[in-house]
Amino acid sequence: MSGELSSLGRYSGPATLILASLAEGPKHGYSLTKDIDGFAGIYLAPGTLYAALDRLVELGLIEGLEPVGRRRPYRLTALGATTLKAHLEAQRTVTETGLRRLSGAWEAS
Amino acid sequence: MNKRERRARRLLRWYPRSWRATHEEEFLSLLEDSMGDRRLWPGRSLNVVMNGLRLRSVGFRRSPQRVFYSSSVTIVLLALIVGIATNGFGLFSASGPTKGAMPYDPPKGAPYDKIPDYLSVYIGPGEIGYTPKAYLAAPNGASNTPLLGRVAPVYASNLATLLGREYPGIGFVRLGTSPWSLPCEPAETIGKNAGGVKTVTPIPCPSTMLTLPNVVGMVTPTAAGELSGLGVSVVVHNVHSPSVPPGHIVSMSPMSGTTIHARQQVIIANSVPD
Repeated sequence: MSGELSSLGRYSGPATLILASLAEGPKHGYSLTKDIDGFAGIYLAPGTLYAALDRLVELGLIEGLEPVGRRRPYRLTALGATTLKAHLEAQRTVTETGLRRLSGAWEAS
Repeated sequence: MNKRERRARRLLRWYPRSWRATHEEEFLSLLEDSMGDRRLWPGRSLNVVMNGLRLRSVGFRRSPQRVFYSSSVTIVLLALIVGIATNGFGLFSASGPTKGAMPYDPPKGAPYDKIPDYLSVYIGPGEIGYTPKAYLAAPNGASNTPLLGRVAPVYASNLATLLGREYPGIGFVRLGTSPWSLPCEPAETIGKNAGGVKTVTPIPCPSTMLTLPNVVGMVTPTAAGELSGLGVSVVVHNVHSPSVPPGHIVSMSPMSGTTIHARQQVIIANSVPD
């Protein structure tokens, strides 16, 4: 499953951020930008955001809902939720391994 | 229509019509909301422009002439934006931009303010373009050598040259590898005329031979940039391919591995949707 996200290549960073943001509930473009800036400290520029949204819709990981006014909210699909979970768990393994090895080899010296 | 909305609509036009048809309102509202945060930022505008161009390069479904015209206009505008962003046109210098000799070979440690704002680079037979000095010279002038081999954007020397190009990828060269900077070896091309009689055409110095790298499967601008960086003249043809994704190279002629003259033309086939 995590293969789906890594197939996004240079979009995998924004894709993970968007999926993580949508895990909380549907959001439109601007509220996605604000939310991601808030929890990750990363500002996704409009072009980058929509490039990633297009790819995620294409892959079936998110879907666009009916517009509310001019803004269209996007929602995580079931496939998107599974993919995000698998991806984050794989990242957790890397994070934990790295931290463990750092504490073993670097803090002791 | 207020100022913010007009600005957002201008940016939206970088995207292809088919994309705008489905995303127009939501993208405009995002742009307008974002502009409220801070001023709209050259970096973010450029981000919109680049993504719009990327979509145009892979997704167009229009007549070749129209594609050619609209992409030419966008190249001119993009070149202007990049130029202004990097101060490459020397717009803000008191004396105005100056142009360097061709080819420009900066002495090691040349003071930055002594280097011309524009540096000439070879982009194809009979064509010279310009790249901002920021891409060639270290700002402190300490060493210029590590920048050789870097890929730099090139603005054609005049508008007509730019509009006459077939593909935006041609606007990138690998610095320091133009045939003009290589040793001169007299050469000739051998062909056949209409009557089937062998013809020999001498090619004036400077000249050199090179072996073509493989660009099949690459994204078209990268492939065109790679080849033009070697100094060869690149022609892009559009073809339909069931197996190669749009915007990628289906085939090249001559084939990779062929040794050709640096001034010979290479034709690459760009995949477009049916």
